[in-house]
Amino acid sequence: MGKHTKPITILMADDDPDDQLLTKDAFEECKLANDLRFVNDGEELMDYLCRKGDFKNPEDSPRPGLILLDLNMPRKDGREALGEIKSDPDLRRIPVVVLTTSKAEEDILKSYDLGVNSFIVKPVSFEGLLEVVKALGKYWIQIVELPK
Amino acid sequence: MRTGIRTKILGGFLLVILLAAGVTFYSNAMSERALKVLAGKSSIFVAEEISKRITHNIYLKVGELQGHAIRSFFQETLQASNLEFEKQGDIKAWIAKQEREWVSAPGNEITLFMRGLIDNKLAKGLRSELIEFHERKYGNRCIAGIVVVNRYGAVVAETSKTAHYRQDDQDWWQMMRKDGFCLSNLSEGETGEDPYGVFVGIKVENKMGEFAGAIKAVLTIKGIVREAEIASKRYETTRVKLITRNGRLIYSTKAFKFMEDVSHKTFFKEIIGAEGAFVVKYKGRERLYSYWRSRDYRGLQSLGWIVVVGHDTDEILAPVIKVRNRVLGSALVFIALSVLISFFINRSITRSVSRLIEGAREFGRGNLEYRIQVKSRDEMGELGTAFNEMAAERKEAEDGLRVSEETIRKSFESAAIGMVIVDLGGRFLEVNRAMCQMVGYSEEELLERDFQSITHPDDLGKDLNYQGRLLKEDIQYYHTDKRYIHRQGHEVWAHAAVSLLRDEKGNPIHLIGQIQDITETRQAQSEIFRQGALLTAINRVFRGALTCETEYDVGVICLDVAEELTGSKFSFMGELNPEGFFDTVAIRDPGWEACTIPRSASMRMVRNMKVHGIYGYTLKEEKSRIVNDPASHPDRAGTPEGHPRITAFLGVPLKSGEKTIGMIGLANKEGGYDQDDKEAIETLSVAFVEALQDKRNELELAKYRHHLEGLVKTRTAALERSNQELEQFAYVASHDLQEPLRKVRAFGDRFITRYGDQVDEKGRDYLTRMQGAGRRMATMIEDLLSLSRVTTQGKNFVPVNLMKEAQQVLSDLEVTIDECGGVFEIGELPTIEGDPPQIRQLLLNLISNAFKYRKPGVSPLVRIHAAMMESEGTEGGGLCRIHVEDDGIGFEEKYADRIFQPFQRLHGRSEYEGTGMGLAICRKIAERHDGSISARSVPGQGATFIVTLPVRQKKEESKHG
Repeated sequence: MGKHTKPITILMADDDPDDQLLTKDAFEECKLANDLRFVNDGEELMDYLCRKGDFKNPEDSPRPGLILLDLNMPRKDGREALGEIKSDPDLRRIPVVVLTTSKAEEDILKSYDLGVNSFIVKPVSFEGLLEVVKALGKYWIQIVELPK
Repeated sequence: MRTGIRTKILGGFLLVILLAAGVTFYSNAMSERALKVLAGKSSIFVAEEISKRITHNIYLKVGELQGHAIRSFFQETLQASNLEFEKQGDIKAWIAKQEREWVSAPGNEITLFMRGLIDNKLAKGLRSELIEFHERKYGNRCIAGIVVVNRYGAVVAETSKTAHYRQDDQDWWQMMRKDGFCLSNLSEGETGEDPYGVFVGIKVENKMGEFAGAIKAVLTIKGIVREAEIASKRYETTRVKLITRNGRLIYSTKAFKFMEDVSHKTFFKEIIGAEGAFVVKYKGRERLYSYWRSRDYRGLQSLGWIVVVGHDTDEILAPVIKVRNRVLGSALVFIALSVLISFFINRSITRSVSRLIEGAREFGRGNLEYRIQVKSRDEMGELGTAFNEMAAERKEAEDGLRVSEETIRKSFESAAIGMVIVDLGGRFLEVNRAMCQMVGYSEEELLERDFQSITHPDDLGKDLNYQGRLLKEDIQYYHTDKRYIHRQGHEVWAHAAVSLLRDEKGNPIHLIGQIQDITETRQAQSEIFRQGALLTAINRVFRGALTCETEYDVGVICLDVAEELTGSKFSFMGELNPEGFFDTVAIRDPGWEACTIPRSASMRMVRNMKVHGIYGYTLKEEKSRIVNDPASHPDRAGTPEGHPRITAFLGVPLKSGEKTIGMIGLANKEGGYDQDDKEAIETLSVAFVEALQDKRNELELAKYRHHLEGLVKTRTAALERSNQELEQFAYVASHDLQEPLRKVRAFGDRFITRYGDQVDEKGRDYLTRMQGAGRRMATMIEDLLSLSRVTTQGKNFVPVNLMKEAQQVLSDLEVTIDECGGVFEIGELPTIEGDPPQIRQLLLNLISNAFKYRKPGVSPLVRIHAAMMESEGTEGGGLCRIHVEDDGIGFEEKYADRIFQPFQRLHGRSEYEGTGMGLAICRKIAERHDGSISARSVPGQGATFIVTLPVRQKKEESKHG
């Protein structure tokens, strides 16, 4: 159980600042103490993970224990990024949960094909978001054993 | 020897009677004998009785005497005498002296001494009591005399003079002394009155039991036999005889000589034993004798007399004889009667029989009209009736036979085909009218001829060959087509069917033939051939046309067929063009080859030809034309350059309806064309026109089809593009539009949650309304999306079990239904082809509506049922009509169509929730399935929604996998 260890960093990749804010609020509501960081698109995500560009400093880019990935982002979208993450031997250990508005069958299948760990459709209401965050917290943080 | 029924019946009767009589006689004789025996026995009994009576009588007398002997006076007298004698000295001497004196007296003299004995008191008493008394009583004396003797043998008293005084030297005294009693047999009497009698001697004893003397009495025969006399009165013919054992007749009921010796008589010889009976013939009459020898009586010896009783058997057997006579009489009567009866019976039978015989003879002679008179209701009558029936049937049969013979004869004569009977040499024996007509000879003429003479010589061999085989029994009959030579000399084609008639032994008698004139048939046959050829030709044209690609090819086939049919060498076919010139549509290769100018040039030439010349006639006059000598025909226009020479020509117009559109020309048939050719080609021309038209139409059609396909392709492409745009729009609507809406709602929620309490009531109200609006917008977008997805995301049609879907929907709505206490009924719903999720959506919308719009406070009843309908153009499956019926609030009929439009509602959102999209989606789904939806309602009485869907769907390409 991860209770005794330091809470993981959760990295969220989403271009929508509103969604970022809502998610942050949700985490606060759920009293999850995790360090929640945001990147705005696929490029930034890869930079973060690879500690490149703006994120050369490891302190600016602590390795996330969980990635929340939106699929539709400018520059590089989630799909591409996912592909890159899951093909990188070092990065692919990091569990990725897709959190997107799209419920297209195609996206779901493709994502799992690429090796996503979970696929969640963004709830339409804030309550729904709360539920999801709660569940995420419970599952990914409390229950699941994460690789170090 | 013929014994008639009469004799038989009579004989039978007589036999029966005689048998009966015989039996009767026999039994009669038996009973006679039995009766005789019986009579004999009873007769013996009678004799016994008589004998016993006699004996009894005698001993009665003895008893009387004995009775007398013990009387006191008797005893005293006897005792006195004894005492007196005892006083005497020499008793014996004294007695002897008295005896001498007694016997010396003359016979009838009675001495004093005697008198003293006869008239003494004792004697008197005896006389009066025993003798005279009896005489008085019975009319005659039973006892002739009585003598009392004392112990010394001297008479003490006597009723009449006895022959001796001394008695003790007599036999009777000895016997009496010994036995106490003596009974003598017949002997001469001493008294002289009755010469014969029986005498008895009885010992007398005194009171002390000492011998006192004796008493002797002579019994008269008469007295003795009186009993016999009495007994003999019984039968008239009964004679009773009393005979001593030595055969001396003592008594007989009829006149007799006393003591007659009858021992020699026949009847006496039969007397053997102590008793018996026998029959003796005597003077022509049978007499039954019975006898009884008297026996000892009460210990006293008997006289041994025989009582013989004789009867006339006739008298005894009188009843039997009477019966016998009666029987005889009856028998005679019966015989007479039986003769009479038999006579009558016989008469009746014989009469019936002779009627039958007569009838049978008549039938035998052939007279079937005769009917036997049936008078009796017995087997004879039945026989008669049967005969009559037989006669009637036979008559019928004969009549029938005659009729059938007549019919056969008439049939032969009047048959529609020729019938002949021919002898084995071929000569006509019989011919009928049809045959005569066929060959033109009269009946007499034919009968003089044989068939060989009127048969075509070429066909004769075949005939004779067949007949040979018939005779050999190779074949039973034969058919052949042959020619006869008509009287007028021409040939007559005929079909002959010939068979051979044989007798019972199998010997051929004659030939029988049916001859059918087949001239017409042959003609008809050739006509049929022609027709057949035409049909084949037409067939070829159409079949060929199927595989041809151009009109030209079709034309060539037509020409090919026409040439073959008519035996032509060349042909062409063409049509009039709008300018009035002739365009050749087809020429066969041989035609081209016959052309001497190059192809390119000739091809040009055959178009736009002037309508003139021999062929032009056909087009101008619109009629077929035969020109068998074109060179010299006035209409000739000459042949163009390079054209092969024409020796014969046939032109036939091609008509479409009444209008001539072209023609077909045939040329160079050997020997020229005839009417048959013309008619054939005219018939074919119709087929040619049709084939050409068909081909032309086909080609046109193909062109148009291509064109249409092109159009469809472009349209489809456009549609697809439009669909894609729609899809994109739907996607945009769902995704991109919803996204900002989501934010609005989310931040709205956040605001309320975090700062709601910092805002006043009105502010909160505003916020709540905003939220509501936001929610509604989201729902609307969802609904629009759903609506668009009906077409864009439609799946392939597969069999959908409506029943299951409906049940699933109801199960999904379970909570809602329970909450309102709803009840539903599902009827039989079929399986139809459809898009499963869409069908589900449709049912869900309708059913949830049905429950939603319920009457407030009333448990709703929703009924779902389906009906099947036949319908054309539904891929063969017919239509399915699904009804969803509720008993809710209903709606006005005028809104029945509006409610199916998107976002159209009949109630505010505060009354019933919903966006007004449900029914629009239902309609879209129904239309996608090539069906329809409608609604009926009466406000306050619920509504019925009717979805009509085809059971089968067209096969489509899938839009989405």
